[in-house]
Amino acid sequence: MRPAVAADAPSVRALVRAAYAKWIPRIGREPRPMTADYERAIREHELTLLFVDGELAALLELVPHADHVFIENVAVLPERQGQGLGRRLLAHAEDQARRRDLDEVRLETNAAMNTNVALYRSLGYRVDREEPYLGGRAIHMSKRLET
Amino acid sequence: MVRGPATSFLNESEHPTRQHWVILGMCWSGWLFDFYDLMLFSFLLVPIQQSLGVSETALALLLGTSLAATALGGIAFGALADRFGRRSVLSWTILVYSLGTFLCGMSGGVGSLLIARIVTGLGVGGEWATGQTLIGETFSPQTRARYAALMQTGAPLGIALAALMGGFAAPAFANQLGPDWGWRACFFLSALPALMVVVIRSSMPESDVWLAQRASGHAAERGRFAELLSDPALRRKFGLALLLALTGMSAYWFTYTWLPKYLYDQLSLSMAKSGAWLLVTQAGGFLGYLGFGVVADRLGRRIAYSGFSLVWAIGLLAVTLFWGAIAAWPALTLAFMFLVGIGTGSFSGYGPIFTELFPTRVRNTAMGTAFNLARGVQFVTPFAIARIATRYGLAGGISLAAFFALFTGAWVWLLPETRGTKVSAD
Repeated sequence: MRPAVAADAPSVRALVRAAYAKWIPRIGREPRPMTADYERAIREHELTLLFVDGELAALLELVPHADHVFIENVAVLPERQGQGLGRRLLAHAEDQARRRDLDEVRLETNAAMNTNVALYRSLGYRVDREEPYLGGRAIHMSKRLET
Repeated sequence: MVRGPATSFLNESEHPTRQHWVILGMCWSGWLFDFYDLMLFSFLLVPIQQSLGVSETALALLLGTSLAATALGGIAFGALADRFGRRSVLSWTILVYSLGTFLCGMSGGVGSLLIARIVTGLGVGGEWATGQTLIGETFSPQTRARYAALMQTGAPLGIALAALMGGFAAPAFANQLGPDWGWRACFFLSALPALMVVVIRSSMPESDVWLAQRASGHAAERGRFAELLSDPALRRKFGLALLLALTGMSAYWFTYTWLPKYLYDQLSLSMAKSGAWLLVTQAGGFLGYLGFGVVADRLGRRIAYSGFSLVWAIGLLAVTLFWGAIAAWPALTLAFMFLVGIGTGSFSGYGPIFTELFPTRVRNTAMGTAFNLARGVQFVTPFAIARIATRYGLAGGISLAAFFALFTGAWVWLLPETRGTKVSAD
């Protein structure tokens, strides 16, 4: 695992596009992470890259706030999904929050991405609220950390 | 997720826009005249004493009370700014300290002067945290410390302006209007910054993060002080932040309360009289304030804070405990005085660090309270140094400032590194 640098932007974009492509038919459009500006994200957010056998396999994008860490993006290459990489990165997100003396992590996901919602629930996240978003529903979830 | 332009906050703009410059301009000049009004009284002391016959005891009371009033003003206006907004409260504080200054000019005796100085102190205490909160909330996380540092440079310029007013304008007015009206004219003229409020009301935007926070309805239900002190995570951060400000302020006031007299005793008369040392420390302070912002944005708040505190301590120890070793080289003593000035640049750190530690709903309350409570208790500093000086000499008393500086440089590591924290409607 290492932090992303400016030169990683193309491979980050490729990874995210591959990871989210499977949701296009389900939600009827490209999920927003597929069109985000990753040059800027690397400058402004905390991106961690996870390598397996020297190949980029997954990434985590965090935005620290005054009282919580927001998980902007978790993406795993399709052929690496189901191997626990997402869980590893989410555990890393909690470590990063503790390192900043923060006791909460939050995230936002699309209700249609049902397997993601189930994963977050199994990790102890609860649903704070749901709202209509671009024809679907956005789910806001959070998890309190033991300090 | 990346927001569309329709909902984006000012702090999501990578480069400062016209609105940012208006905010910075108002906060900077608000802080410049804030410090100016705090110090102007000291530079007009002599004519005031002659004109109104103020005793030394009354003088100590006047100086102490206005410092204590800044603590009260900082706490009260901080909480008001979380409730009524940064833009409104920034105007109120500027109006209050300008009114206080105008009233100083009208005073007929110690009683009315005391009231006028209390009014000034209330406004002076409120401005800093409100301005720093506004800048912290509207500039991007990547440039926050730099622009907070720019606002901070208002302080040395305010001191310089007050010195010019006291040194040149007051005698000139006295020549024209007589000794009873020279200093009064200075105070009347110094109420003019109140006109800034016109610009604030017409052209300065409110913190959009604060507006969104208020609209979200997640306002502190039990009152802001109650939330700050009852939530364990917030209480811990507030305690750490308060002690950081307390020891940092002590380092500053231990440095500057008696340094002029100490240097006057130690330096050759020509050097003391020329005021070269004052120029050197203030120039160092100006560069230190700016430099701190750049280092803090690049390498992090804690590293910058510790580094500048260390420089401060080295400079102070050299000119106090190791005076004998460097006294023979005047250029070297000035170089160490310059380091003292540079080191005080760590004061640029409080705004960004406090902005990033506290959520929007209690941010201004926490910042105003920590910073101004720490400054308010400094009215005991002259007495403390006097006690220490009788046993260990003035150099011993002032060198304690170095230990306070070193302490803050270590203490900051108990806080998390907050560089890159996004300020949102939380």
